[in-house]
Amino acid sequence: MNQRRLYLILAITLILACYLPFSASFESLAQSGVLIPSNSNRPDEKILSLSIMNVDILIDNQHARVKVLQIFDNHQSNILEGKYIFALPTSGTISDFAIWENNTRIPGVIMEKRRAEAVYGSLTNASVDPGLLQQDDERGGSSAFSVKVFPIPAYGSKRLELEYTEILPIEELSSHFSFPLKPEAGYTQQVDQLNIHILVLSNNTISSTKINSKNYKMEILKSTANEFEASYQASNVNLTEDLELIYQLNVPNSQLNSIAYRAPELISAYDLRDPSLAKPNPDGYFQATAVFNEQQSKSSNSNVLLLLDTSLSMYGDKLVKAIEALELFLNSLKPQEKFNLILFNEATSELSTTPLPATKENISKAINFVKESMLYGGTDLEKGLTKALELVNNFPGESKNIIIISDANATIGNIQKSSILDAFNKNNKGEIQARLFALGLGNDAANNLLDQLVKDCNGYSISARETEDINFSVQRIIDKVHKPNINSLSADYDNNFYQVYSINDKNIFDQGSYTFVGRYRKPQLQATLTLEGFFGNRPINLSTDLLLPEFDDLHSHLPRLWARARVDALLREMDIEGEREDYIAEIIRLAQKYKFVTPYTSFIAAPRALLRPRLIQPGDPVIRVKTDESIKQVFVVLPFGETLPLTYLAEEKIWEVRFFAPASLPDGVYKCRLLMTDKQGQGFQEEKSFVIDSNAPKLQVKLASTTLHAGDELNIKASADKDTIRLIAKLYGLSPVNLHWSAKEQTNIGKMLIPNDLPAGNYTLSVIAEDGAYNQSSQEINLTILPKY
Amino acid sequence: MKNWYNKKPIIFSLVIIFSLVIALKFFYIQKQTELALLKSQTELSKQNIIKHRKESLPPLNNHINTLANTKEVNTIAFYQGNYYIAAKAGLLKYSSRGKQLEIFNNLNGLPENDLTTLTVWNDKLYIGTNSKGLLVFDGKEFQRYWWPDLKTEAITTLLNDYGRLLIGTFATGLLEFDGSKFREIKSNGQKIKSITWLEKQENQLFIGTFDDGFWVVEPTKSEHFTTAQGLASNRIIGITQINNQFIVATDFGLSIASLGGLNEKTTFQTTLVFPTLSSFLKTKNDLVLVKDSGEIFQLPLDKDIQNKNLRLLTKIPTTNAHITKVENQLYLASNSGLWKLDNNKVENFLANNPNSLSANMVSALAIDNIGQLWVGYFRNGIDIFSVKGQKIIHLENEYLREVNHIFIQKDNVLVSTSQGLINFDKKLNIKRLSKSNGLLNHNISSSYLLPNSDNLLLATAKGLAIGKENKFSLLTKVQGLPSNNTYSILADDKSIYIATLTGLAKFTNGKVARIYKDSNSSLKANWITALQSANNQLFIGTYGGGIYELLPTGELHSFVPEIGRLVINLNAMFSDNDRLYVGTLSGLWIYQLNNQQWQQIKLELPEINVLSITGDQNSIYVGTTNGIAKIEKEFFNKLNNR
Repeated sequence: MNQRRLYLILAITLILACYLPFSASFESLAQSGVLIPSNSNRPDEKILSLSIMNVDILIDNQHARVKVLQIFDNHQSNILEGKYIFALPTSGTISDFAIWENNTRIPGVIMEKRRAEAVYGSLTNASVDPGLLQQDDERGGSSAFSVKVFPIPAYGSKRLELEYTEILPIEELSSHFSFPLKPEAGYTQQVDQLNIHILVLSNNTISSTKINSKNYKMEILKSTANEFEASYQASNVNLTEDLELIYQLNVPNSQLNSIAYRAPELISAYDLRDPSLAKPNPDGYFQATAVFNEQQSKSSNSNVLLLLDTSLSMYGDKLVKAIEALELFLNSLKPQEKFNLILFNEATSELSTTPLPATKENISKAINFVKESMLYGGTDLEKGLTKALELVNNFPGESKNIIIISDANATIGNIQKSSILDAFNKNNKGEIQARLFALGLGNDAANNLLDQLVKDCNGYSISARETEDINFSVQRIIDKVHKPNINSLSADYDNNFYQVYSINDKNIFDQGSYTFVGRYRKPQLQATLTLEGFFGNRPINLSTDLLLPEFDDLHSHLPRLWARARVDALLREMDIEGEREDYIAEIIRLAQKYKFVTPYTSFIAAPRALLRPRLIQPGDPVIRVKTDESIKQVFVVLPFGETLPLTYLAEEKIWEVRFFAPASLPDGVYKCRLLMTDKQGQGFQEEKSFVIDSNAPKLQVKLASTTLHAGDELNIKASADKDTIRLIAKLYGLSPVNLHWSAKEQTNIGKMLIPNDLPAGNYTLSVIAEDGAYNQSSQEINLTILPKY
Repeated sequence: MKNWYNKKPIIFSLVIIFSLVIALKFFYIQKQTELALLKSQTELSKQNIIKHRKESLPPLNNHINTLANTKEVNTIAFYQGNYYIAAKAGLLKYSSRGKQLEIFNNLNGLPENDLTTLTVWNDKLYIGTNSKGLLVFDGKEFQRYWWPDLKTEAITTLLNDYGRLLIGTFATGLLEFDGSKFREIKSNGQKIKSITWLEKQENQLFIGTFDDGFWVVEPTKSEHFTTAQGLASNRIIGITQINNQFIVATDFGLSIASLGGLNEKTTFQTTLVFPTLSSFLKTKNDLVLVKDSGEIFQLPLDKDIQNKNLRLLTKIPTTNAHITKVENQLYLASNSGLWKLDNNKVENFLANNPNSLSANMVSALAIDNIGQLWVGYFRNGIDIFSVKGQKIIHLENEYLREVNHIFIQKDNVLVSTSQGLINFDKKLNIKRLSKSNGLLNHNISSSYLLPNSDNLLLATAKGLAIGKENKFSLLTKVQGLPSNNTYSILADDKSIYIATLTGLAKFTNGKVARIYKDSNSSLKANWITALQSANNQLFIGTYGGGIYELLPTGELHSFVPEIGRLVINLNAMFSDNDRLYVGTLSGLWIYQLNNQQWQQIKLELPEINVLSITGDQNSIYVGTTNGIAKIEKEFFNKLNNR
């Protein structure tokens, strides 16, 4: 392999450049795989045309893996440079990328951003143009990948490969897969040869599988209870619509199913990992999925307030889809149900100050109200939501549902996502909490914000591109509006299983699914997993027996699925407890092994700076930062206006400064900025957060009785502040008992069994509440223990 | 008589009617007044007019001296033939020849010593404070403006805009003063927060902020620019124009945009990455860029704004450095002084006071057995002063920096720091105890030597360490301590009292005998921050739960009903056996042991946040976040007699 190729191997990296500006013109053309000549801002088939496109889709028990191969032809007599752009579906994560140079496949590599930038910089200085793959904020909900491609030989071709994965949720006992093919902004792309292959495998019986894409007439190769296969080949195809696949799952009653995987770790010839890290006999992986069908006999009446975005950002296809969605929502209502409608942009405008019955006349009036309004100005999202919360309180009974149709990109008024979220949650704390359902429209929809808005109010959000068929997304919302949630789910398993994580991050509804993944140590012929929870107030208890194989490499996606879940769990824990070096090392290792972007392979500005502890303990207002050895200066900008240089402590190899938080600063989460300079004089900046918490949690303990007999069970109920992380009850002579949150009782509960042989007398029960900053409060209650009955 | 008796009901009725009329009239007048006030407020609010108060500031009485570091300087101005310097320790007055004439501080009546900014307007010197509003000085007297309806926080910048004075604040927005009233300037109805920089160019007002980019406000419109438009960071240091470009200086570098009007389509490009840029200035031929650490760079105006064209002019080792121009002379103000910059030469402007404090955040104080004052700083090591007030030595290094507590023994002084325990002998030889000596944790909150023993007690974040060098045992939660976070220690003949994060522990005969918490005593907060004995009484300070006395019965007597739930700072209690002195977030509280009366002082202190206290026969030294108040005991005697 020559040196130049080696540079290219090293240089093609996956990094996250969340601060790098993204050309608006590129974004508007982003869909599946276009290659744009560098001297242009749009594709030009006369210069670079798409010769071959192969799409291979495998959906294995809701885990979709999509491989895309594209070959572009250069019709010019000179070597070209181009920019390849691919818009992932909003829930997709990239797992592989490669560029071919002649007959050699050059794969992309996940690197820490610092190393990637150093390599990129040195190659640019050496006038070697590397391919550089950049991704927008994956966790922010939008993903558009771009890569600079060079050289594209004169009158030659360039082959690009990309692979991504996504989890397909089950909703209303159906599943929907969409592959983006249609570009937005009025441009069409033609491909000389298009080949599509789809394979669906499912442990649950599937049926009514259909492909909702008129322009791609798929040939069905196989369609059984657990398998579906189809393919399509055609020439000179205009890519004018997306590929949509929908299938139903036949699940008569709620059930729990599982699959497992165990095989030696593979070492790819193109991986740059240390081969010695691969284990010959690693522990196995499993995935368990519960599909709920609690068979609620009839849907209850639901009142709905529709909140439609009519700002200028909804121009074009978005507004068309929005009005289509609105009509579908309105027409789904029964006459005895009530509704209202608010249009919002910079201001709000409501159809009525009081709820209206969903009669045909009123629905017609509502649609006219929309059509007679004009798109205007920016988006004051907070204003719209506040108005909706105000008017939804006028609905009678307990059914208060808000459906927002918007791209949720606030541009006017309060534009800070976190404070929009805080304001909404604060205003939605009435006697009856309103549920929010969100339809996020457009590739640029702020889906992350919508997901967070719906989360705490038992709502639901779904996104849809302007080019998608909106019916499916709307129907999902309609079905959920009429149903209570599935809640308080917890899994139970023996200690052969470990590192078990849920991969659901949304609220769960009936006819939906809940999946958890984990690892197992020893093969077993039969192991049992159980899942308990509630459907409204009705308990759910599911179990499954699964085979834990010694060897089974069928479901090869499971290690990567588990790794992603493991990384997310570590990130969540660090969010609360502060960053840990061993966690970050594991995250980077997993991300490099399984090729996915994370904050530590993506977001962090090089060099990596570790802020610990994140939770500032009382009386110890110290910021400690660990950095790479190349850093020679660290400076912190604190949110209350102070700026301080940090001192390097050689003994601990850490940077540190003490600060004095103003007395008036309330407890809470704060952000600070670190400005760093390395030995070469290069500057870096990172934003970190820390928590100040100097108040002990408030605690209130309730006992049914303070007089008990030996042998009795003592039921303890305690309420404490939200930041409480530990609640313990102690009684002399007994092991401490941890109290846990009970969704059913809406309080923390614990049980203590009074031993039969505990002598009669007066005892003191202590209940202690501790928060993340180790602030503690306690309550002591005198108990009288009488002899056993 | 008979007639009179018959008319009684009528008279009674008349009296009732008359009273009703009076009451109605009163109610009517009150209502009218309220309406008028409401109307006036409405009118004021429509014009964004802010209500203000003005007061004269009389000087305070004697018996008090302030010890401070006057080298933490923010800015300089020239007024009535003299130089005035806004420092953390007050307003310094220097002659035109550079001779120190006077220092004005709280003892002259200033509401606060931490002065942030200066400007001359309308023939008066206007002075911004850190939290007490705006001061105005006419050369003789100080007056203060403040705004009762606003939460006054730092005034960060002042701009003489000829017909008006513009006042930038950190949290209260941008105010405009025309000499008689204050009005808030908003942008599209929005308050502009965390303002750090102001400049006017023709009809454009540029407003830089600490964390939200900058605004350009014109009479009919305003624009806002942040990192979303390409700025290197949102903390604005300044803006200028060079040739056809707008240059925006941020704390991470310079970003440029082409001239042609700043509007919603303007985007910036960062061409020079320059972390910790703290100020910059355009001269005739150059841009002068200053880093926080005192490095001064020059960028010629005729060259591209890129790192490769920067030239280091000079370096003054300091922090919080920023450059300013007064009377055509460049000055560098910083945390360690003020310098005149002249053709690359640097000249110290401030008078050198060898007996000045090395810093202002005084976290520990003690007087040793020969009367020397030991001053420990929050981040800057320790100073030792002789009985006569001369500084003997300043000590500061990698581990002797963040001082928590100073404990005076017979022959040694123990200094508890965040990097271990420093043991000074009589000759000031140092021995350090840290993790390498068997301690589990470097951060020592306080130390104590058991009477009649050479066993050390060290309060750390991982428990109470007991023992000697290399032989420490640890008392933790496992052994019954309520928390491993320990802060203060006190011992009597029988027991050791340990202040922890979640209660007070009494350690007797080798075990934790009792724990005091809010659940089993009169404590209102579990975080015990300070312990002090006074006249055989034991006093306990808490963080937000006030002060208590441990009675001989073993119960706690609470002073909360008398003086409230105070926040007592760590180890901020002292007693001379006549009085107990308690350092809190809201000043110094004094408890007369003979008559059990409490008093509070605030104005006499350079800063109301009291971190440390000590005393000798004549004076009490009160360490605050902005210097030390040395208060003669006579002052407290007079206080007692009021």
